[in-house]
Amino acid sequence: MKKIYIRKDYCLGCGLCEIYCATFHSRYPDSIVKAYKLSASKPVSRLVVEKMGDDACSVMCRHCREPMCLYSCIAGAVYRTGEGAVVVDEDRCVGCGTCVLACPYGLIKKEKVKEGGKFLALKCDLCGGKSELPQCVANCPNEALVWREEEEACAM
Amino acid sequence: MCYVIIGNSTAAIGAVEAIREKDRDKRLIMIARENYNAYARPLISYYLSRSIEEKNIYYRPYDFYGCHNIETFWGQEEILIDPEKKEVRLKPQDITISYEKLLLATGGKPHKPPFLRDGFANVFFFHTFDDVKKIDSFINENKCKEAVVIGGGLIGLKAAESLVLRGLEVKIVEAEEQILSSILDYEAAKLVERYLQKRGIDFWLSSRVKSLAGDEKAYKAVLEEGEVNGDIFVVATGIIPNHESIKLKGLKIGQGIEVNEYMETSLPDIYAAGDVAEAYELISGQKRLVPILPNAYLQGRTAGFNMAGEKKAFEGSLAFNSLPVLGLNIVTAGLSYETGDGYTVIKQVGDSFNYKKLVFRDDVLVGFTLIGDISRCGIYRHLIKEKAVFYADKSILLRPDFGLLMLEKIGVGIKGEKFYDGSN
Repeated sequence: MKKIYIRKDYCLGCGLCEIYCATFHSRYPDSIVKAYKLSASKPVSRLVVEKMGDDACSVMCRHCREPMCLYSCIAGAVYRTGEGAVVVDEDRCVGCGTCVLACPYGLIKKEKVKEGGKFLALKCDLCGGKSELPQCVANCPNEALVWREEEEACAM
Repeated sequence: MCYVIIGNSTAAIGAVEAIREKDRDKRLIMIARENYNAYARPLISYYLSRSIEEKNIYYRPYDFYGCHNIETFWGQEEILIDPEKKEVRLKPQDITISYEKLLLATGGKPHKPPFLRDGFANVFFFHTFDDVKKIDSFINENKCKEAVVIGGGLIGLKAAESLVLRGLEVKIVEAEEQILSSILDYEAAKLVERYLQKRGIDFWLSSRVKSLAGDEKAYKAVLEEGEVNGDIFVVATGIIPNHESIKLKGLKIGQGIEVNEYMETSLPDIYAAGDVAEAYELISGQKRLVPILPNAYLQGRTAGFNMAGEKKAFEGSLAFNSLPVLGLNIVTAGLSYETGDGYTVIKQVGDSFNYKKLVFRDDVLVGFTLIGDISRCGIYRHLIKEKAVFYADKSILLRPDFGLLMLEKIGVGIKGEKFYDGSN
Protein backbone atom coordinates (compact mmCIF):
# COMPACT_ATOMS: atom_id res chain seq x y z
CA MET A 1 0.00 0.00 0.00
CA LYS A 2 1.07 3.61 -0.43
CA LYS A 3 2.23 5.51 2.61
CA ILE A 4 3.52 8.99 3.38
CA TYR A 5 7.29 9.27 3.76
CA ILE A 6 9.20 12.30 4.86
CA ARG A 7 12.21 13.96 3.24
CA LYS A 8 13.45 15.42 6.49
CA ASP A 9 16.02 17.74 4.92
CA TYR A 10 13.24 19.52 3.02
CA CYS A 11 10.94 20.11 5.98
CA LEU A 12 10.92 23.68 7.24
CA GLY A 13 8.37 23.16 9.98
CA CYS A 14 6.16 25.75 8.30
CA GLY A 15 3.06 23.87 9.39
CA LEU A 16 1.12 24.12 6.14
CA CYS A 17 0.62 20.35 6.23
CA GLU A 18 -1.15 20.78 9.57
CA ILE A 19 -3.40 23.53 8.23
CA TYR A 20 -4.45 21.51 5.18
CA CYS A 21 -4.94 18.37 7.27
CA ALA A 22 -7.02 20.17 9.87
CA THR A 23 -9.10 21.89 7.19
CA PHE A 24 -9.74 18.70 5.24
CA HIS A 25 -11.00 16.95 8.39
CA SER A 26 -13.24 19.86 9.39
CA ARG A 27 -16.79 20.80 8.39
CA TYR A 28 -15.39 22.93 5.57
CA PRO A 29 -12.83 20.65 3.90
CA ASP A 30 -12.36 22.98 0.91
CA SER A 31 -11.89 26.27 2.68
CA ILE A 32 -9.14 27.02 5.17
CA VAL A 33 -10.73 30.34 6.12
CA LYS A 34 -14.15 28.80 6.79
CA ALA A 35 -12.61 25.85 8.63
CA TYR A 36 -10.75 28.10 11.04
CA LYS A 37 -13.27 30.93 11.33
CA LEU A 38 -16.70 29.33 11.01
CA SER A 39 -16.49 25.80 12.39
CA ALA A 40 -18.13 25.13 15.72
CA SER A 41 -15.59 22.31 15.81
CA LYS A 42 -11.98 23.26 16.36
CA PRO A 43 -9.84 22.21 13.36
CA VAL A 44 -7.18 19.81 14.58
CA SER A 45 -4.52 18.24 12.41
CA ARG A 46 -3.65 14.59 12.65
CA LEU A 47 0.04 15.23 12.06
CA VAL A 48 2.74 16.29 14.47
CA VAL A 49 5.25 18.86 13.27
CA GLU A 50 8.25 18.28 15.46
CA LYS A 51 10.66 21.13 15.93
CA MET A 52 13.97 20.96 17.70
CA GLY A 53 16.36 23.85 17.36
CA ASP A 54 16.83 24.37 13.62
CA ASP A 55 15.46 20.97 12.72
CA ALA A 56 11.89 20.23 11.82
CA CYS A 57 10.02 17.15 10.74
CA SER A 58 6.37 16.53 10.02
CA VAL A 59 5.43 13.07 11.25
CA MET A 60 2.22 11.07 11.06
CA CYS A 61 0.79 7.60 11.62
CA ARG A 62 2.74 4.81 9.98
CA HIS A 63 -0.32 2.58 9.45
CA CYS A 64 1.81 -0.12 11.03
CA ARG A 65 1.68 -3.76 10.03
CA GLU A 66 1.27 -4.56 13.72
CA PRO A 67 -0.75 -1.56 14.91
CA MET A 68 -0.50 -1.20 18.69
CA CYS A 69 -3.39 1.28 18.64
CA LEU A 70 -5.70 -1.33 17.14
CA TYR A 71 -4.56 -4.02 19.56
CA SER A 72 -4.90 -1.70 22.56
CA CYS A 73 -8.19 0.05 21.83
CA ILE A 74 -10.56 -0.71 24.69
CA ALA A 75 -13.63 -0.05 22.55
CA GLY A 76 -12.58 -1.96 19.45
CA ALA A 77 -12.90 1.39 17.65
CA VAL A 78 -9.66 1.18 15.67
CA TYR A 79 -9.81 -0.92 12.53
CA ARG A 80 -7.98 -1.48 9.25
CA THR A 81 -9.73 -0.41 6.03
CA GLY A 82 -9.74 -2.46 2.86
CA GLU A 83 -6.99 -0.21 1.54
CA GLY A 84 -4.80 -0.99 4.52
CA ALA A 85 -5.12 2.28 6.44
CA VAL A 86 -5.52 2.05 10.23
CA VAL A 87 -8.36 4.35 11.22
CA VAL A 88 -10.41 5.35 14.26
CA ASP A 89 -14.19 4.99 14.11
CA GLU A 90 -15.10 8.30 15.71
CA ASP A 91 -18.62 7.08 16.56
CA ARG A 92 -17.26 4.26 18.69
CA CYS A 93 -14.20 6.05 20.12
CA VAL A 94 -14.77 7.15 23.73
CA GLY A 95 -11.61 9.23 23.95
CA CYS A 96 -9.95 7.14 26.66
CA GLY A 97 -6.42 7.79 25.39
CA THR A 98 -5.19 4.19 25.50
CA CYS A 99 -4.12 4.38 21.86
CA VAL A 100 -2.31 7.67 22.55
CA LEU A 101 -0.27 5.70 25.08
CA ALA A 102 0.07 2.65 22.84
CA CYS A 103 1.43 4.36 19.70
CA PRO A 104 5.21 3.84 19.77
CA TYR A 105 5.78 7.14 17.96
CA GLY A 106 3.30 9.25 19.91
CA LEU A 107 1.34 10.14 16.79
CA ILE A 108 -2.21 9.99 18.09
CA LYS A 109 -3.78 13.06 19.68
CA LYS A 110 -6.62 13.17 22.16
CA GLU A 111 -8.70 16.27 21.56
CA LYS A 112 -12.16 17.63 22.12
CA VAL A 113 -13.19 18.54 18.61
CA LYS A 114 -16.69 19.82 19.33
CA GLU A 115 -17.67 22.27 22.07
CA GLY A 116 -19.43 20.22 24.73
CA GLY A 117 -18.63 17.11 22.76
CA LYS A 118 -16.59 14.10 23.65
CA PHE A 119 -12.85 13.67 23.45
CA LEU A 120 -11.66 11.71 20.42
CA ALA A 121 -8.49 9.99 19.34
CA LEU A 122 -7.27 11.77 16.23
CA LYS A 123 -4.76 10.23 13.85
CA CYS A 124 -3.84 10.27 10.20
CA ASP A 125 -6.41 8.34 8.16
CA LEU A 126 -4.74 8.93 4.78
CA CYS A 127 -7.56 11.40 4.17
CA GLY A 128 -10.13 8.59 4.25
CA GLY A 129 -9.48 7.73 0.64
CA LYS A 130 -11.37 10.94 -0.25
CA SER A 131 -8.34 12.72 -1.64
CA GLU A 132 -6.27 11.46 -4.57
CA LEU A 133 -3.15 12.51 -2.74
CA PRO A 134 -3.19 12.99 1.04
CA GLN A 135 -3.69 16.70 1.68
CA CYS A 136 -0.36 17.13 3.47
CA VAL A 137 1.56 15.58 0.57
CA ALA A 138 -0.32 17.62 -2.04
CA ASN A 139 0.18 20.93 -0.28
CA CYS A 140 3.72 20.85 1.08
CA PRO A 141 5.49 23.78 -0.63
CA ASN A 142 8.82 21.96 -0.58
CA GLU A 143 7.64 18.47 -1.53
CA ALA A 144 8.99 17.29 1.79
CA LEU A 145 6.27 14.66 1.99
CA VAL A 146 6.09 11.93 -0.62
CA TRP A 147 3.44 9.34 -1.41
CA ARG A 148 5.19 6.08 -2.13
CA GLU A 149 4.55 2.34 -2.25
CA GLU A 150 5.66 0.76 1.00
CA GLU A 151 7.86 -1.94 -0.52
CA GLU A 152 9.60 0.57 -2.75
CA ALA A 153 10.24 2.89 0.19
CA CYS A 154 11.53 0.11 2.39
CA ALA A 155 13.92 -1.09 -0.27
CA MET A 156 15.58 2.29 -0.45
CA MET B 1 -10.86 -31.84 15.52
CA CYS B 2 -10.81 -28.16 16.12
CA TYR B 3 -9.70 -25.13 18.05
CA VAL B 4 -11.66 -24.58 21.24
CA ILE B 5 -11.58 -21.31 23.13
CA ILE B 6 -13.11 -20.92 26.57
CA GLY B 7 -13.76 -17.22 26.87
CA ASN B 8 -15.20 -14.48 24.71
CA SER B 9 -13.50 -11.28 25.72
CA THR B 10 -10.32 -9.51 24.65
CA ALA B 11 -7.83 -12.38 24.85
CA ALA B 12 -10.22 -14.77 23.14
CA ILE B 13 -10.83 -12.31 20.29
CA GLY B 14 -7.07 -11.73 19.96
CA ALA B 15 -6.61 -15.48 19.60
CA VAL B 16 -9.44 -15.84 17.09
CA GLU B 17 -8.08 -13.07 14.87
CA ALA B 18 -4.60 -14.63 14.88
CA ILE B 19 -5.88 -18.17 14.25
CA ARG B 20 -8.02 -17.02 11.33
CA GLU B 21 -5.10 -15.08 9.84
CA LYS B 22 -3.27 -18.42 9.57
CA ASP B 23 -6.11 -20.91 9.20
CA ARG B 24 -9.44 -19.94 7.67
CA ASP B 25 -10.82 -23.47 7.56
CA LYS B 26 -10.40 -25.55 10.67
CA ARG B 27 -13.40 -25.58 12.99
CA LEU B 28 -13.19 -22.94 15.71
CA ILE B 29 -15.49 -23.13 18.72
CA MET B 30 -15.93 -20.45 21.37
CA ILE B 31 -17.55 -21.24 24.71
CA ALA B 32 -18.36 -18.54 27.27
CA ARG B 33 -20.31 -17.93 30.46
CA GLU B 34 -21.84 -14.56 29.58
CA ASN B 35 -24.70 -14.36 27.13
CA TYR B 36 -23.41 -11.56 24.95
CA ASN B 37 -21.26 -11.22 21.87
CA ALA B 38 -17.83 -9.96 22.91
CA TYR B 39 -18.25 -6.59 24.52
CA ALA B 40 -15.66 -4.04 25.58
CA ARG B 41 -15.59 -4.56 29.34
CA PRO B 42 -13.97 -1.19 30.15
CA LEU B 43 -16.91 0.50 28.41
CA ILE B 44 -19.44 -0.58 31.04
CA SER B 45 -18.86 2.66 32.94
CA TYR B 46 -19.50 4.66 29.74
CA TYR B 47 -22.79 2.78 29.34
CA LEU B 48 -23.82 3.57 32.91
CA SER B 49 -23.00 7.25 32.48
CA ARG B 50 -25.01 7.20 29.21
CA SER B 51 -21.95 8.26 27.24
CA ILE B 52 -22.55 5.30 24.92
CA GLU B 53 -25.57 3.27 23.85
CA GLU B 54 -25.80 -0.51 24.06
CA LYS B 55 -25.03 -0.96 20.38
CA ASN B 56 -21.62 0.67 20.85
CA ILE B 57 -20.48 -1.51 23.74
CA TYR B 58 -19.62 -4.41 21.46
CA TYR B 59 -15.93 -5.03 20.91
CA ARG B 60 -16.29 -6.25 17.31
CA PRO B 61 -18.98 -5.90 14.62
CA TYR B 62 -22.14 -7.97 14.91
CA ASP B 63 -21.15 -10.24 12.02
CA PHE B 64 -17.71 -10.99 13.52
CA TYR B 65 -18.51 -14.60 14.41
CA GLY B 66 -20.10 -15.37 11.05
CA CYS B 67 -17.29 -13.73 9.08
CA HIS B 68 -14.65 -15.62 11.03
CA ASN B 69 -16.47 -18.93 10.75
CA ILE B 70 -16.89 -19.50 14.49
CA GLU B 71 -19.37 -21.74 16.31
CA THR B 72 -20.48 -20.17 19.55
CA PHE B 73 -21.86 -21.52 22.82
CA TRP B 74 -22.83 -18.66 25.11
CA GLY B 75 -24.40 -18.84 28.58
CA GLN B 76 -22.35 -21.89 29.59
CA GLU B 77 -22.11 -22.10 33.36
CA GLU B 78 -20.54 -25.53 33.65
CA ILE B 79 -17.66 -26.63 31.45
CA LEU B 80 -15.71 -29.82 32.11
CA ILE B 81 -12.28 -30.33 30.61
CA ASP B 82 -10.63 -33.73 30.15
CA PRO B 83 -6.99 -33.11 29.16
CA GLU B 84 -6.28 -36.83 28.65
CA LYS B 85 -9.11 -37.40 26.18
CA LYS B 86 -8.69 -33.83 24.92
CA GLU B 87 -12.39 -33.18 25.33
CA VAL B 88 -14.54 -30.37 26.61
CA ARG B 89 -17.98 -31.22 27.92
CA LEU B 90 -20.82 -28.76 28.25
CA LYS B 91 -23.34 -29.60 30.95
CA PRO B 92 -26.32 -29.64 30.95
CA GLN B 93 -26.70 -29.99 27.18
CA ASP B 94 -24.27 -32.89 27.51
CA ILE B 95 -22.33 -31.85 24.41
CA THR B 96 -18.80 -33.20 24.08
CA ILE B 97 -16.27 -31.42 21.89
CA SER B 98 -12.88 -32.87 20.97
CA TYR B 99 -10.17 -30.26 20.74
CA GLU B 100 -6.84 -30.19 18.99
CA LYS B 101 -5.82 -27.03 20.78
CA LEU B 102 -7.60 -25.47 23.74
CA LEU B 103 -7.31 -21.89 24.97
CA LEU B 104 -8.29 -20.86 28.49
CA ALA B 105 -9.20 -17.18 28.31
CA THR B 106 -11.60 -16.98 31.22
CA GLY B 107 -10.46 -13.59 32.46
CA GLY B 108 -11.03 -12.33 35.96
CA LYS B 109 -13.86 -11.99 38.42
CA PRO B 110 -14.56 -9.54 41.23
CA HIS B 111 -12.78 -10.08 44.52
CA LYS B 112 -15.37 -10.66 47.25
CA PRO B 113 -14.26 -8.78 50.35
CA PRO B 114 -14.88 -10.49 53.72
CA PHE B 115 -17.46 -7.91 54.88
CA LEU B 116 -19.76 -8.66 51.95
CA ARG B 117 -22.85 -10.76 52.56
CA ASP B 118 -25.55 -11.68 50.05
CA GLY B 119 -29.06 -10.32 50.06
CA PHE B 120 -28.67 -6.56 49.70
CA ALA B 121 -30.71 -5.22 46.79
CA ASN B 122 -28.56 -2.09 46.53
CA VAL B 123 -25.04 -3.52 46.61
CA PHE B 124 -23.40 -4.23 43.26
CA PHE B 125 -20.15 -5.37 41.68
CA PHE B 126 -18.78 -3.41 38.72
CA HIS B 127 -17.52 -6.09 36.37
CA THR B 128 -20.08 -7.20 33.80
CA PHE B 129 -22.52 -5.54 31.44
CA ASP B 130 -25.32 -7.10 33.52
CA ASP B 131 -23.85 -5.49 36.66
CA VAL B 132 -24.21 -1.98 35.21
CA LYS B 133 -27.64 -2.76 33.77
CA LYS B 134 -28.74 -3.69 37.30
CA ILE B 135 -27.18 -0.51 38.72
CA ASP B 136 -28.88 1.54 36.00
CA SER B 137 -32.31 0.01 36.78
CA PHE B 138 -31.83 0.50 40.50
CA ILE B 139 -30.90 4.15 40.10
CA ASN B 140 -33.88 4.75 37.82
CA GLU B 141 -36.36 2.99 40.13
CA ASN B 142 -35.08 4.35 43.44
CA LYS B 143 -33.93 7.87 42.52
CA CYS B 144 -30.64 7.29 44.35
CA LYS B 145 -28.79 10.31 45.64
CA GLU B 146 -25.72 9.07 47.51
CA ALA B 147 -23.42 6.41 46.10
CA VAL B 148 -20.66 4.73 48.07
CA VAL B 149 -17.88 3.13 46.02
CA ILE B 150 -15.80 0.74 48.07
CA GLY B 151 -12.35 0.60 46.46
CA GLY B 152 -10.28 3.48 45.11
CA GLY B 153 -8.48 1.61 42.35
CA LEU B 154 -8.90 1.87 38.59
CA ILE B 155 -12.33 0.23 38.52
CA GLY B 156 -13.56 2.14 41.59
CA LEU B 157 -12.57 5.43 39.97
CA LYS B 158 -14.36 4.70 36.69
CA ALA B 159 -17.43 3.50 38.61
CA ALA B 160 -17.37 6.70 40.67
CA GLU B 161 -17.00 8.81 37.53
CA SER B 162 -20.03 7.20 35.90
CA LEU B 163 -22.14 7.74 39.03
CA VAL B 164 -21.12 11.42 39.22
CA LEU B 165 -22.16 11.79 35.59
CA ARG B 166 -25.53 10.28 36.53
CA GLY B 167 -25.96 13.07 39.05
CA LEU B 168 -25.28 11.20 42.29
CA GLU B 169 -23.11 12.37 45.16
CA VAL B 170 -20.24 9.94 45.30
CA LYS B 171 -18.04 8.86 48.19
CA ILE B 172 -15.02 6.64 47.62
CA VAL B 173 -13.93 4.45 50.54
CA GLU B 174 -10.35 3.23 50.23
CA ALA B 175 -8.29 1.14 52.67
CA GLU B 176 -4.93 2.67 51.68
CA GLU B 177 -3.93 6.25 52.45
CA GLN B 178 -4.24 7.15 48.76
CA ILE B 179 -6.26 6.16 45.72
CA LEU B 180 -4.76 4.29 42.74
CA SER B 181 -1.90 2.80 44.77
CA SER B 182 -1.18 0.23 42.06
CA ILE B 183 -0.20 2.93 39.55
CA LEU B 184 0.43 6.27 41.29
CA ASP B 185 2.87 7.45 43.90
CA TYR B 186 1.55 9.38 46.90
CA GLU B 187 2.14 12.86 45.44
CA ALA B 188 0.43 12.06 42.13
CA ALA B 189 -2.48 10.40 43.93
CA LYS B 190 -3.01 13.49 46.10
CA LEU B 191 -3.07 15.65 42.98
CA VAL B 192 -5.79 13.45 41.46
CA GLU B 193 -7.74 13.41 44.72
CA ARG B 194 -7.66 17.23 44.85
CA TYR B 195 -8.94 17.43 41.28
CA LEU B 196 -11.76 14.95 41.96
CA GLN B 197 -12.71 16.65 45.23
CA LYS B 198 -13.29 19.83 43.22
CA ARG B 199 -15.68 17.84 41.08
CA GLY B 200 -17.70 16.59 44.00
CA ILE B 201 -16.17 13.25 44.98
CA ASP B 202 -15.58 12.75 48.73
CA PHE B 203 -12.76 10.49 49.84
CA TRP B 204 -12.60 8.28 52.90
CA LEU B 205 -8.99 7.12 52.88
CA SER B 206 -7.22 4.72 55.25
CA SER B 207 -10.74 3.39 55.77
CA ARG B 208 -11.42 -0.32 55.89
CA VAL B 209 -15.04 -1.47 55.70
CA LYS B 210 -16.04 -3.82 58.55
CA SER B 211 -19.63 -4.45 57.48
CA LEU B 212 -22.63 -3.09 55.64
CA ALA B 213 -25.64 -2.27 57.81
CA GLY B 214 -29.20 -2.76 56.66
CA ASP B 215 -31.90 -5.31 55.92
CA GLU B 216 -32.97 -5.62 52.30
CA LYS B 217 -31.01 -2.53 51.48
CA ALA B 218 -27.72 -1.40 52.97
CA TYR B 219 -27.87 2.13 54.33
CA LYS B 220 -24.35 2.54 55.63
CA ALA B 221 -20.88 1.07 55.46
CA VAL B 222 -19.46 0.58 58.95
CA LEU B 223 -15.74 1.32 58.93
CA GLU B 224 -13.07 0.39 61.46
CA GLU B 225 -13.37 4.03 62.46
CA GLY B 226 -16.55 5.79 61.48
CA GLU B 227 -19.30 5.09 59.00
CA VAL B 228 -20.44 6.22 55.55
CA ASN B 229 -24.08 6.53 54.52
CA GLY B 230 -25.40 5.73 51.10
CA ASP B 231 -28.41 4.51 49.20
CA ILE B 232 -26.42 2.54 46.63
CA PHE B 233 -23.13 0.70 47.08
CA VAL B 234 -20.60 -0.46 44.50
CA VAL B 235 -17.94 -2.96 45.54
CA ALA B 236 -14.73 -2.57 43.53
CA THR B 237 -12.06 -4.10 45.71
CA GLY B 238 -10.15 -5.83 42.95
CA ILE B 239 -10.26 -8.50 40.29
CA ILE B 240 -8.89 -12.02 40.73
CA PRO B 241 -8.13 -14.46 37.91
CA ASN B 242 -11.01 -16.74 37.07
CA HIS B 243 -9.47 -20.21 37.26
CA GLU B 244 -11.14 -21.61 40.37
CA SER B 245 -13.53 -23.66 38.28
CA ILE B 246 -10.71 -25.01 36.14
CA LYS B 247 -9.30 -27.64 38.45
CA LEU B 248 -7.17 -29.77 36.20
CA LYS B 249 -4.59 -32.23 37.47
CA GLY B 250 -1.21 -31.06 36.37
CA LEU B 251 -2.27 -27.52 35.46
CA LYS B 252 0.33 -25.27 37.06
CA ILE B 253 -1.34 -22.29 38.67
CA GLY B 254 0.46 -19.53 40.55
CA GLN B 255 -1.68 -16.45 40.97
CA GLY B 256 -2.91 -17.11 37.46
CA ILE B 257 -2.53 -20.00 35.04
CA GLU B 258 1.20 -20.17 34.32
CA VAL B 259 2.27 -20.01 30.71
CA ASN B 260 5.61 -20.06 28.90
CA GLU B 261 6.65 -17.64 26.16
CA TYR B 262 4.39 -19.49 23.68
CA MET B 263 1.38 -19.09 25.99
CA GLU B 264 1.48 -22.88 26.63
CA THR B 265 0.32 -24.10 30.02
CA SER B 266 1.85 -27.08 31.79
CA LEU B 267 -0.68 -29.35 30.05
CA PRO B 268 -0.10 -30.34 26.42
CA ASP B 269 -2.11 -28.49 23.78
CA ILE B 270 -3.70 -26.25 26.41
CA TYR B 271 -2.91 -22.51 26.27
CA ALA B 272 -3.91 -19.59 28.44
CA ALA B 273 -4.08 -15.87 27.78
CA GLY B 274 -5.43 -12.63 29.23
CA ASP B 275 -6.43 -11.72 32.77
CA VAL B 276 -6.37 -15.37 33.86
CA ALA B 277 -2.79 -15.98 32.71
CA GLU B 278 0.57 -15.45 34.35
CA ALA B 279 3.09 -14.77 31.59
CA TYR B 280 6.54 -13.21 31.40
CA GLU B 281 6.46 -9.57 32.41
CA LEU B 282 8.81 -7.30 30.50
CA ILE B 283 10.52 -5.36 33.28
CA SER B 284 10.97 -8.06 35.90
CA GLY B 285 11.39 -11.00 33.53
CA GLN B 286 9.21 -12.92 35.99
CA LYS B 287 5.82 -14.53 35.36
CA ARG B 288 3.21 -12.05 36.55
CA LEU B 289 -0.46 -11.26 36.20
CA VAL B 290 -0.76 -8.04 34.20
CA PRO B 291 -4.52 -7.76 33.76
CA ILE B 292 -4.89 -4.87 31.33
CA LEU B 293 -6.80 -5.00 28.06
CA PRO B 294 -3.96 -4.42 25.55
CA ASN B 295 -1.93 -7.13 27.23
CA ALA B 296 -4.85 -9.54 27.05
CA TYR B 297 -5.18 -8.88 23.32
CA LEU B 298 -1.47 -9.38 22.67
CA GLN B 299 -1.35 -12.57 24.75
CA GLY B 300 -4.41 -13.88 22.94
CA ARG B 301 -2.82 -13.05 19.61
CA THR B 302 0.39 -14.84 20.57
CA ALA B 303 -1.57 -17.87 21.78
CA GLY B 304 -3.57 -17.92 18.55
CA PHE B 305 -0.50 -17.99 16.32
CA ASN B 306 1.04 -20.78 18.37
CA MET B 307 -2.21 -22.76 18.33
CA ALA B 308 -2.33 -22.44 14.55
CA GLY B 309 1.17 -23.82 14.22
CA GLU B 310 3.27 -20.66 13.96
CA LYS B 311 5.73 -20.51 16.82
CA LYS B 312 5.77 -16.97 18.17
CA ALA B 313 7.32 -15.85 21.43
CA PHE B 314 5.40 -13.37 23.55
CA GLU B 315 7.28 -10.08 23.84
CA GLY B 316 6.44 -9.75 27.55
CA SER B 317 3.63 -7.99 29.37
CA LEU B 318 3.98 -4.32 30.18
CA ALA B 319 1.48 -2.66 32.48
CA PHE B 320 0.09 0.56 31.02
CA ASN B 321 -3.12 2.45 31.62
CA SER B 322 -4.85 5.53 30.34
CA LEU B 323 -7.38 6.52 32.94
CA PRO B 324 -9.28 9.70 32.18
CA VAL B 325 -11.49 10.64 35.13
CA LEU B 326 -13.96 13.51 34.91
CA GLY B 327 -11.78 15.32 32.40
CA LEU B 328 -8.36 14.67 33.97
CA ASN B 329 -5.96 12.58 31.86
CA ILE B 330 -3.92 10.08 33.83
CA VAL B 331 -1.45 7.93 31.93
CA THR B 332 0.95 5.43 33.50
CA ALA B 333 3.25 2.63 32.41
CA GLY B 334 5.68 0.21 34.03
CA LEU B 335 6.86 1.04 37.54
CA SER B 336 4.93 4.30 37.58
CA TYR B 337 4.49 4.30 41.37
CA GLU B 338 8.22 4.17 42.26
CA THR B 339 9.65 7.28 43.87
CA GLY B 340 13.31 6.70 44.66
CA ASP B 341 15.38 4.18 46.66
CA GLY B 342 17.19 2.44 43.88
CA TYR B 343 15.47 4.44 41.16
CA THR B 344 16.32 7.74 39.51
CA VAL B 345 13.26 9.92 39.21
CA ILE B 346 12.83 13.11 37.21
CA LYS B 347 9.71 15.10 37.77
CA GLN B 348 8.00 18.18 36.44
CA VAL B 349 5.01 19.58 38.30
CA GLY B 350 3.20 22.22 36.28
CA ASP B 351 0.17 24.28 37.15
CA SER B 352 -3.40 23.16 36.62
CA PHE B 353 -2.86 19.51 37.57
CA ASN B 354 0.00 18.88 35.15
CA TYR B 355 2.45 16.30 36.42
CA LYS B 356 5.19 14.40 34.64
CA LYS B 357 7.43 11.79 36.20
CA LEU B 358 9.94 9.43 34.59
CA VAL B 359 11.45 6.53 36.55
CA PHE B 360 14.83 5.03 35.68
CA ARG B 361 16.67 2.05 37.10
CA ASP B 362 20.34 1.87 36.18
CA ASP B 363 19.75 4.52 33.50
CA VAL B 364 17.01 2.42 31.85
CA LEU B 365 13.51 3.89 31.67
CA VAL B 366 11.24 1.55 33.65
CA GLY B 367 8.16 3.62 34.33
CA PHE B 368 6.37 6.95 34.03
CA THR B 369 3.32 8.90 35.10
CA LEU B 370 1.81 11.76 33.10
CA ILE B 371 -1.18 13.71 34.38
CA GLY B 372 -2.89 16.48 32.38
CA ASP B 373 -0.94 16.87 29.16
CA ILE B 374 -0.34 13.38 27.80
CA SER B 375 0.87 14.25 24.31
CA ARG B 376 3.58 11.97 22.85
CA CYS B 377 3.30 9.64 25.89
CA GLY B 378 3.35 6.63 23.58
CA ILE B 379 7.01 7.33 22.88
CA TYR B 380 7.87 6.94 26.59
CA ARG B 381 6.02 3.63 26.65
CA HIS B 382 7.96 2.45 23.62
CA LEU B 383 11.23 3.47 25.30
CA ILE B 384 10.37 1.20 28.24
CA LYS B 385 9.65 -1.67 25.87
CA GLU B 386 12.93 -1.09 24.05
CA LYS B 387 14.77 -0.88 27.41
CA ALA B 388 16.33 2.34 26.17
CA VAL B 389 19.33 3.55 28.14
CA PHE B 390 19.83 7.23 29.01
CA TYR B 391 23.27 7.91 30.42
CA ALA B 392 23.35 11.69 30.22
CA ASP B 393 21.04 14.46 31.39
CA LYS B 394 17.63 12.79 31.58
CA SER B 395 15.65 15.98 32.14
CA ILE B 396 15.70 16.79 28.41
CA LEU B 397 13.12 14.03 28.03
CA LEU B 398 10.61 16.29 29.75
CA ARG B 399 11.25 19.30 27.53
CA PRO B 400 8.30 20.56 25.45
CA ASP B 401 10.17 19.64 22.25
CA PHE B 402 10.52 16.02 23.29
CA GLY B 403 9.89 13.72 20.36
CA LEU B 404 11.43 11.51 17.72
CA LEU B 405 13.80 14.25 16.53
CA MET B 406 15.20 14.67 20.02
CA LEU B 407 15.70 10.95 20.45
CA GLU B 408 17.56 10.78 17.15
CA LYS B 409 19.74 13.68 18.23
CA ILE B 410 20.77 12.00 21.46
CA GLY B 411 21.42 8.74 19.69
CA VAL B 412 18.45 6.74 20.93
CA GLY B 413 17.00 5.30 17.78
CA ILE B 414 13.44 4.04 17.87
CA LYS B 415 13.18 0.77 16.00
CA GLY B 416 10.10 0.00 14.03
CA GLU B 417 8.31 1.46 11.07
CA LYS B 418 10.06 3.53 8.42
CA PHE B 419 9.50 7.29 8.43
CA TYR B 420 11.98 8.78 6.04
CA ASP B 421 12.09 8.68 2.29
CA GLY B 422 15.47 7.64 1.01
CA SER B 423 18.25 5.75 2.63
CA ASN B 424 18.56 7.78 5.88
